[in-house]
Amino acid sequence: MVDSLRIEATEDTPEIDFDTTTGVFKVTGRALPENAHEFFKPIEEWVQSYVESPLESTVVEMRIDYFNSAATRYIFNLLMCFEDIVDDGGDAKVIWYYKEDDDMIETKGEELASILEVPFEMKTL
Amino acid sequence: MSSGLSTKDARVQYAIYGALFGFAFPVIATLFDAFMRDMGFGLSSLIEVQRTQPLHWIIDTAPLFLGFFACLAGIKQQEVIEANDGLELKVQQRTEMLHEQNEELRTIQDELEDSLHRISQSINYAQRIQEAIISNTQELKAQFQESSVMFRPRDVVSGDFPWYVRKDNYHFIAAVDCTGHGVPGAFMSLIGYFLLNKIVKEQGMLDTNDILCELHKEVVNVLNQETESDVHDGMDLALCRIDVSNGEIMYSGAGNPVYHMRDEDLVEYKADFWSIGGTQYKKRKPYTAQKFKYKSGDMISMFSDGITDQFSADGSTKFGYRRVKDHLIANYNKPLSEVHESFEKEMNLWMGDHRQMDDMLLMNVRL
Repeated sequence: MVDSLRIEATEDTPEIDFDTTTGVFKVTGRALPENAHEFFKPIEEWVQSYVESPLESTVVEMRIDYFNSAATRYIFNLLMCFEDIVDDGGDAKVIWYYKEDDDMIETKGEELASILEVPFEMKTL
Repeated sequence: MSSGLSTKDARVQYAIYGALFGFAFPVIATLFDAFMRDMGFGLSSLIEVQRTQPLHWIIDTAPLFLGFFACLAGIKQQEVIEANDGLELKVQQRTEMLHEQNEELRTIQDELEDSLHRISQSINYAQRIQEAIISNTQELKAQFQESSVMFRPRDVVSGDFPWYVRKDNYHFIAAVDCTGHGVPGAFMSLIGYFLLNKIVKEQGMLDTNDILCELHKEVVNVLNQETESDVHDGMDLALCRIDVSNGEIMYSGAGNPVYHMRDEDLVEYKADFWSIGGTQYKKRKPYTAQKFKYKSGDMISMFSDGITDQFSADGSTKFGYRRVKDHLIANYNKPLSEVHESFEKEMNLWMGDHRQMDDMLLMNVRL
């Protein structure tokens, strides 16, 4: 089992709190890093090694209130990694939180839900 | 600091003054005694006085004792002096250090200013190149007098760009939003610009869905994304082909929609999910196209997410699709130059002092 992954939020990057004792993985805040690759790559690598031997259940809680087009791609890739768990018969789901009046985040969530093969829930904040 | 004794040393000075002061006691006492005994002040009488009165022997030790005690006081005084000297030296050293640090900071500041200046110059120059390319919207203006492009880069150069090409009866218009902004965005915009030109002008592809499929293939190829899985960059865009011969528009979108307005009715044509370029997904599907008829006086509108994602002044709310639609509907009957102006005003009011989050592009075309 890999250790939990924690990254503090900055003005341009979200807080990452992937807790391997509870199986609740939270992404919270804004994602508009100047260098999206530098920020997301280590996280993606961490998830890739996690999905090889995941916990019994994994819940990914996305509470993002802004991401730019580069970050969108990395977030999509990141969430796609969790498909491996489902493919192997494991239990994983994504909960996508959005503010009621934020049609941008809501639309993005709907789009992701239609593409990703991971159980995907939409919830208002 | 010298540790040897010198006449300037407070310990020596105090001891001397103490001893001198103490010396006054035996002198006065001896002279006084000689005077009292009426013996006169000759050397022999003074010796006689000393010899016969043992009390003088005690008094004679006064210079010794007073010198000793004064010396003790001198030691204290010397400590104070030395401590003071130490402080002064420290203050002097600190001052010198601060001065040096100041100098260093000034050098760093100069270097930073210099770097910033050179980077700005370089980016400003790059902007001229980007501007020259983007000025092809004048062609759009020549073909569609009632058209407007709001183009607002976040950092001088931009990842967004408007694109227009005419091929026979077809007018191709696209609002393109490349990943990133600033310099990396501008790199991507050049790739997008020239690939679109190549695909439409040289390869002669005419269907918007084919153009997007080809654009995706080419971006993947140019950025080696087939093998280099770490480069996710690409672009979102809305692409319209206006066929003036039969009043029909063909639209395909990668991420970004198009709005078609007739009077106060706004119809949104949604884009396909997949962005151009980036990771190779097995599930990826080819782009689709949608066709719709238009009448003279109708309007189409395309934009980048820099507009809809812009935060309000207090950072609490995003501009969103709703406000774009509302604005277009409310201003539908006005000339596009006015719509453009009032949209700029509304956006300025909306964002207030909040920083611009991303490049902004809004293209309106009256058909």
